[in-house]
Amino acid sequence: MRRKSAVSLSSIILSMTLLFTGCSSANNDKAKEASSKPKEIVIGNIGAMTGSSAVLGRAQSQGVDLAVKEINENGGILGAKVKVVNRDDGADPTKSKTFMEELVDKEKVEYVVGPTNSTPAAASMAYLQQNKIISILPIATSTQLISPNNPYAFRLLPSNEIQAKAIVKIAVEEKFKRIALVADTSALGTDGMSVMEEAMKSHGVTPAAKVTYKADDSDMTPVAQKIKDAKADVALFWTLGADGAKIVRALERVDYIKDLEIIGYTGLNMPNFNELAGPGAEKVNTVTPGSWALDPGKTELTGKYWDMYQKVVSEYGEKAKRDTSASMIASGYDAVYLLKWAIEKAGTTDSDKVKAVLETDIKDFDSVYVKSYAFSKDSHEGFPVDELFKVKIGEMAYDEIYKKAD
Amino acid sequence: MQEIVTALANGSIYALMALAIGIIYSTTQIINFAHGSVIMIGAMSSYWLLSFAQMNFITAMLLAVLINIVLSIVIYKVSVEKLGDLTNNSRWIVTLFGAGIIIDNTARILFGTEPKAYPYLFDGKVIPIFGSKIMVHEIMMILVAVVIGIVYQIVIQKTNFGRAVRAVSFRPDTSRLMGIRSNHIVLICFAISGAVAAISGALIAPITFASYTMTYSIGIKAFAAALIGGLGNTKGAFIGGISLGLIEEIANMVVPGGLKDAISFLIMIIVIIVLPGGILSAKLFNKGELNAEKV
Repeated sequence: MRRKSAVSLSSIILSMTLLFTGCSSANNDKAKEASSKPKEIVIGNIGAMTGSSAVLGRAQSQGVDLAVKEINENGGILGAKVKVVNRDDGADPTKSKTFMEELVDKEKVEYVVGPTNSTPAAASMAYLQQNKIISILPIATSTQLISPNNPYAFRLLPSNEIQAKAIVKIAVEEKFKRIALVADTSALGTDGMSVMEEAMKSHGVTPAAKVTYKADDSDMTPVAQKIKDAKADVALFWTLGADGAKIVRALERVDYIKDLEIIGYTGLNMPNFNELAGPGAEKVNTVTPGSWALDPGKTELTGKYWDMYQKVVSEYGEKAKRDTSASMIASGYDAVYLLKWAIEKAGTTDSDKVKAVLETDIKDFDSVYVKSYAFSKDSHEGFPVDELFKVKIGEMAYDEIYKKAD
Repeated sequence: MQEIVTALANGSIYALMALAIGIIYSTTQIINFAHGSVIMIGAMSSYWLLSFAQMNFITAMLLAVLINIVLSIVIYKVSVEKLGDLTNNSRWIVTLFGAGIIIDNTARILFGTEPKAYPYLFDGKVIPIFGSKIMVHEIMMILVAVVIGIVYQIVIQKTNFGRAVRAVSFRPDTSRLMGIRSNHIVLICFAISGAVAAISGALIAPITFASYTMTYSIGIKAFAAALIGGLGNTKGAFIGGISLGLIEEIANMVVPGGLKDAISFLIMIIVIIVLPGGILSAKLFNKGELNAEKV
């Protein structure tokens, strides 16, 4: 009796396997047939369009919409129109994962731009990889998002690791002797501290002090005192804007700001940083993409980057009206053009072939965000370390474009 | 020296916040979980009156106090009064948490998400004391807290209103039979608590910056200070606040920054467990048997 049941069960499993294998191979054939002459290319655009991170999602969407409008007006991709399906995850990882499943299973997206925030991106990444969906991350910066576990993910903005390498490189090249590392104890801060330490190790330098604090703490005097006690000549800040400003004020109180230079990652930058930090803001620097920073004495960016800026202003208005960052819009815009370029170069929508083009021929792509992306088979980090420049915080033109130091 | 002044200044703010929590607790046996949000509204409204209406500090503060009094009365009317006997239900936990969330979200929409630089008193003037740079603002934080504490004690001990508060705290039902309108007393306590919150907000905002999240971190410390000192006890609020300020400053010196709060709250737990003069003196677990002399 038991043997009979086992035989029946085996037969059912075998039949089901054959059935699904058959379906799968039929689907693959269909996909291959459709991929060289697609009727329509569907791109998912996902990010925080509402909530406290809404400016990120809106910037990405504005870039994507602008690119898709231009592409469709000029014949599409491989002759096919591009359709964008938008989803607002509100920076919520659970929503992001659900939306991503819906985008892949129901909306049949072939490529994804986003999510904008790192935690939602981490939550939804596995599903994209399982389905071999190429995802371009124009904004999320968490180091772990780009790894061998996510072979179909490509990032455009400088990741935490790239930023850490850049600020450590700047401090070492400017011959600072005693480097203090400052970060909060959140996941973001811990990641930042760890990547800064790694970068220091690669330069053979030991930090003079590693100072941590609880994010949003009201009293930052102990942080300032520890930097002072370490006799640091430069402090590398992996802090968000308001906390960074509090530390600068505390450094002034312990009478140490004049002896110190501060270089912070991009999270330190906020519109009213100088107002919050007070006079000590004079000593604070951050890093920014070089192509989107003004050369000394200039009022316009160079060539294509200025054209892109003008395009953003004419489409969405000046900074005060639009609220979103022009360089982030450029990054979202690049994401779609990058897909167009790679699909056309591969001559197919097949994700493995498109991925191979991104990994091997990226130097041919004409970006409006960086000079050249740095993708390779070993790394899907697009932003080159050398393209991050030190700028004085708050020194901006048009309320959004940094001025490079003389 | 600087560490001591910072500890005392932070402790004074915790004490003021604990006092405001205690004022409500002493007459109602409930903890106002919306208190952090009320402090924030005090700070944000005075900031806007100072920056945009260009008012002087005193006028802006008086108006902010008024706004907070109205807000606290609305909180009482909407989230507390309708619940009936507060000692026999715990629905106030949800309604007051809810009120706090509504206030925070409204503030986010009204004032935006960006923190604002709130001006220090006396333009942030610094005076040297024993080789340390001490801000006049910090000294004012301590003085204002002490003055409010003393005034509140005088009102409670020497006035008819104070006697009524103590009566309501001690035996709410009996005081009602004696003709004391306990609902009115509770309403006034909410109003006083709101006024104290506005002052706390203006004093702490230059340090935390004014934003709708400004009390997320320090709000919980106010509850800790209130518990350490003894809920509903004015002197206890000050002892709890100053102790917490000192504990934090010592923790800052001996452990990495991220562990400071863990140490502070561990000590709070030990104090609550070991010292009966803390939470148990307010009879949190013996509702309706408050000692009126300890208000």
